Amino acid sequence: MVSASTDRTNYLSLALDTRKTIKALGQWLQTGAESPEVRQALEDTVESLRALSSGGSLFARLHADSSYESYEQIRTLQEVQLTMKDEHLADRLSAVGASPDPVERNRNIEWAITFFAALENQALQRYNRSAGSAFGH
Amino acid sequence: MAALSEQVRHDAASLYQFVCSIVDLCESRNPAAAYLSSSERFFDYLVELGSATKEYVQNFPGGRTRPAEYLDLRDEVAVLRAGWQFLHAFVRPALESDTLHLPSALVQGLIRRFREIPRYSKTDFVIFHTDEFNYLTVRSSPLKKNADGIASLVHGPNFPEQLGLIGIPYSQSSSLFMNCLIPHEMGHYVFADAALGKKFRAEVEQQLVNSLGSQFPLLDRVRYTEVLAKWSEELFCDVFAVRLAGFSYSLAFVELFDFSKALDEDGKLSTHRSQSFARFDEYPADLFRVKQQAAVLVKDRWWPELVKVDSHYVKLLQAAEQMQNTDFEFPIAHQVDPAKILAAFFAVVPQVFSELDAVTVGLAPGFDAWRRTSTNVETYLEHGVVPSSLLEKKGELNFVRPDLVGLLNSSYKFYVESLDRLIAHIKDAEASDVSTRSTWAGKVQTWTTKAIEDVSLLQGKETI
Repeated sequence: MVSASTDRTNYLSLALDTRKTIKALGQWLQTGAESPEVRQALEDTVESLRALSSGGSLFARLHADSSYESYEQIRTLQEVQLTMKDEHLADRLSAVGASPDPVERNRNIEWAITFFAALENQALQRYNRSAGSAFGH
Repeated sequence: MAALSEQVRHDAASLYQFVCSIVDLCESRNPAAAYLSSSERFFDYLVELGSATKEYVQNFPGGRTRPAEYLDLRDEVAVLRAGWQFLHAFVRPALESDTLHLPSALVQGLIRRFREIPRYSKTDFVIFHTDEFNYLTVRSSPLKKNADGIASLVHGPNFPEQLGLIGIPYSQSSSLFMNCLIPHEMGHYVFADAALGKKFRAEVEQQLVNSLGSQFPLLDRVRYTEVLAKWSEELFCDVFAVRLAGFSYSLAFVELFDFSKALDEDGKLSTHRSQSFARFDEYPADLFRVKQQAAVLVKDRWWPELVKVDSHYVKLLQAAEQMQNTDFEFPIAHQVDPAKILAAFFAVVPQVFSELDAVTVGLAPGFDAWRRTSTNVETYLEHGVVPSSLLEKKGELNFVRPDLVGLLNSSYKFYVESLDRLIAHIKDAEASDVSTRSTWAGKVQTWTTKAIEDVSLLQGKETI
């Protein structure tokens, strides 16, 4: 494997994106209204998790501002997936908001917040511990 | 232990203090120093984003009462702090780069040339100093994304549109020729702005699947996709720089890394001496990069004139231009066949050129202007005259103003080919003396820089 230097800014981008998603999920809980941004974030996460499992093409499927464009970001997602030991992560995320029952829907949103909080923490931890630079030659 | 609400308030105050320390630096910058307007924009933006951040965290924890909410705020403080640590890295280098410490005339000339591309007619660049002896660009995509990420959390302003950041070695502010590498860094801005990264990643991934099959593990594929996309970006920036600045970029590229040492005593590529330059690693092989630059020089009509230049730098360009894809290697200690990886990359190289043509639509080629003034500029330099207004004797006497591309390429050609002619006019100066050559090469750069500045004033264009 060629040694490509780690770009820690990718971890920070993931942490910031994830924080936005957590806030949007919190708003969803409070208001009951789902934003297009949170739906997009859920779909991109599901797409990336499924690509991790199936080995299918990834980059052509992601939308322009996806949070999972780099090796660091995909690897962080995989680390969280392994930590959560849930084989059906993608399916569960995909189902967030689908239930007509408000109680179940809120429970699913809260679970999604837990998932994204784990992702945010992992990304931030990686960012703070990695050597690297924002500069590219 | 203090209550959770107090702990959060403490964390917020700590972040507030950190943001203040950055904002204060920007606000109290040296009043005696003058900055490019692009730098002023950057500092003003940081001050505004800092104010928004401070205002946002000032009332933490606000009306929250539940432990989960306090803990969530603590997470938010941590993310914001990391974001500001990221921005912190850019402040001091930009503050130290006032106009006295920058090659301002060249930078302004290059920005004007860049703005000749219609879609970039309003783009600006912050130039800052780096300790490394390398030219670099701040990848505008993650910078903007991360800065906007902070902004969206604190309801602050987005990163200024059409603003790029470029780093140059702190010691090279007076080196005209080395600064011909700046257009490569402008290429990185274009690559991000035109969202070429996403395009190339998708294309590269598809080529890797074609070459290696879909069973290639996703994480490995993502890793190689990034490597190949990065090669594509570097190539794009090289060919963009050549289109913007002509062969002066290629000569600077060869000079900076001493690539001409790949040649043997007959001026041919030596297998032994060129081996390391034909190897792909984190970056594309150096000779492959030179070969692609030569392809643009051919396409943009520089090549037939360039090959007449008597210089070992040009010999290197000619030798690289003749190389075949099979002359390059990618040594990797992995179960993947490196030839297949390279094949996937070579398949996307044509797209680099089509993207170059697409983004430079409307940019006038520099070749004709250079050919019209080159002989005259070189004659002026030979006699130690600043080549700002060139006397042309075609019927009536006329003064002709060379443009930036004409000046850079004429001057670089004179430097690599004809420095002896200048030194021959100098009393007691020996062309064989290294120190003397260095001194007069510096003079050539000073006169050319002055000409760039004069031409800019004579053209009456706005000062950037």
